[in-house]
Amino acid sequence: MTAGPARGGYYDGRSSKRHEVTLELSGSALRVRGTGVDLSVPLADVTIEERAANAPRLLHLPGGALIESTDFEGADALIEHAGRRDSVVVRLQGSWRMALGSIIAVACAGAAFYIWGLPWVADRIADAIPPAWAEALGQEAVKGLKAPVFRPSALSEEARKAIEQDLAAALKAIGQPIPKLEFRSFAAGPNAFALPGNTMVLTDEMVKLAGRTGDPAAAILGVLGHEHGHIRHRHPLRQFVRATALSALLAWWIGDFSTVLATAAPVLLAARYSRDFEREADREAVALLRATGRSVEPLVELFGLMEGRRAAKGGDGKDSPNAERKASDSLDYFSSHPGTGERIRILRGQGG
Amino acid sequence: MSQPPQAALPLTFTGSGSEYFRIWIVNLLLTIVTFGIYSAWAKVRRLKYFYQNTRLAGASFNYHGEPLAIFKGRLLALGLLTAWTVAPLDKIWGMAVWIVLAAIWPWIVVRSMRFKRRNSSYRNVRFRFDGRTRDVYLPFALLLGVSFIAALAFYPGSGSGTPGVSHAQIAVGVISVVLLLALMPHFHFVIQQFFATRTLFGETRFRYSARAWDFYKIYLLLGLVFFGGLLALGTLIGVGSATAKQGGWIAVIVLAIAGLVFFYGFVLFVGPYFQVRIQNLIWNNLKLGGHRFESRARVWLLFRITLVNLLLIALTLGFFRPFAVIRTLRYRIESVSLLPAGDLDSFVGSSEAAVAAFGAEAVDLFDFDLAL
Repeated sequence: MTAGPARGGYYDGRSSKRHEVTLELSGSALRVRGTGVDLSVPLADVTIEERAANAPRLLHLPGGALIESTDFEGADALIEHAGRRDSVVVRLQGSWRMALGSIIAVACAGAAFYIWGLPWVADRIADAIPPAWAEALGQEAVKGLKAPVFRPSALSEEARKAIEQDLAAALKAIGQPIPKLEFRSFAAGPNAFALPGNTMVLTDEMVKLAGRTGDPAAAILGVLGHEHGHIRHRHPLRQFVRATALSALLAWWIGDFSTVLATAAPVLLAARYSRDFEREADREAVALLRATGRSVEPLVELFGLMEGRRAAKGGDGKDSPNAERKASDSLDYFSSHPGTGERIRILRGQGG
Repeated sequence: MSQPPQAALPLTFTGSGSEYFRIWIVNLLLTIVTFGIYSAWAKVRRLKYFYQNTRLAGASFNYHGEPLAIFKGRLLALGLLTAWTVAPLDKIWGMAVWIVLAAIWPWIVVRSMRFKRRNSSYRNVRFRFDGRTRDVYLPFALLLGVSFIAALAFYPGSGSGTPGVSHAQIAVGVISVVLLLALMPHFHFVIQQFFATRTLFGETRFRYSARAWDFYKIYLLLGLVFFGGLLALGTLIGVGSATAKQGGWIAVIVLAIAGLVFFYGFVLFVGPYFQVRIQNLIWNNLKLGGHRFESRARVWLLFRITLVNLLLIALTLGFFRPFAVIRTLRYRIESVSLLPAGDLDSFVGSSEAAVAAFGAEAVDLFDFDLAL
């Protein structure tokens, strides 16, 4: 078996000097000949590096010498004659069909990880975080609720007491622990939210809006039942971990441009997770109202009022409730709450 | 401009986007299938592709990192990163992690450099790095110390019980931030000098003649660009708000867009600006034996490459990234030439034991990159 000659450069490893050589196969040996070099090396002792189209072919000889060849035709023929085959990975890398298959596989894996993998992993991480740490995170957030966006609540002591007692009685009835309730006035209007740990926040504006429903106490209890659902299922912490993991993942995927592209994308993608949480919290609100013998209709009414406010803010002057509902539902994919229509269906479907 | 005795030898890059795309996608798939274990092997394949496709005077570079060493390094670094990620959740724990990381960080950087250099070769002669941790401990301690004080001053709730932030706290915070900005170019200079003068090709040491002032100039010019842009934007807003009273919301939208363009434009400009200016500064002040180097990269060209990359990455949902990497790499590599003082045959190789990969992996995971 003979092949060659192929041209190349020989570097002995002791100096950077290049020796022009020719390579030939003779039997089971590699002959290397050139100015000042005349070697015969058993083929079995030669390590041939994986090849890439335009990179030189690299042959490592025993004793640390190297042969570098850009005589691709000659060197490839010689390597083939020597019976060396490309590794599986190199063959995968060489084929466009495999590349196309890989793109599809990577895209599917990415989608599956987004839908199932990441929530699962993030929830395991959230479970491992000690409750005290979550509480500390929540307390940091409470400290952040200050002017000019948030102001101390203007509600009377009795009004606050009444709301707290109503919530405590309802939670006691279903055997749940009673969370801390913070009252604030909020510049952006009616709102209520849960923080990591055991704290929920209710705004004066929400209490005022609930006053326009048929049964303000039941409507507020419904809102707080919803927030209790978030706390019971540790939604704020889980969302925090999911969003953090998502932005880390996206920063890695996008590469150097994390600062610009990766700020918007995680916000949009994380919204999907929070919608699932909202649905779960709505079901908890229904359960709490039912357990205490209240109707869900005041809460439905309150959602309607909030939807009305949102549409009024949109400010296109149309009054048709159907158009409003359609608009809010069509934004469903990127919004952090399910559409109002869907939420009302959930409330009535379970509570009706 | 001096006349080199021989023609300049340009670095050339023979990699292609379509070839690297297939390497990248197969690497990615195998990494996903093996739950990340393959990533160490993927890294070696990627770097070998980059190094072997970089040529100078008819010979190519090569990378020799061992996948298994890289894998072990990654495991250790991942532990460190996890500790760092959960650190903000608890004050005591966070402080402990911060102090430990700060204490070992110079050591990690030095180990990283040793691993990178020792596993690079040209003409079958390895590069080396013989810097020691104690050589850079002081500048690192200074920099980390000042940033620690700055962070502490602005940390909400550290002003025990008093609402808001006290005047003393603000003063300490402002002073430490100003100090940090003033120290940054000097730190950058010290660390680059350390990296360059502690690097050897075989037994031949690199020499390096950049001065601290060169780094200050680069940072000052960037500051000038930033404040000049801010001034222009301020003027625009001033003029705009006067016309907005008549023009209404169109003027407001135009102003908002101008602000966004300036902000994102500047964020995108900083990366290429530093890459080009620092690369040129380092290579133009580097010597190896009698050979000199020349780097003629231009900020605007790399900025344009970066913008096109960003656009195509966004349009392809990230799949353009391997092409983007090759475009950037090709431009940066091919900007550099060697101005030879003779032939490149007389460098003597050396032997050095293998180096653990932990440092290199820690630096990569924390995305901390000071060198080219």
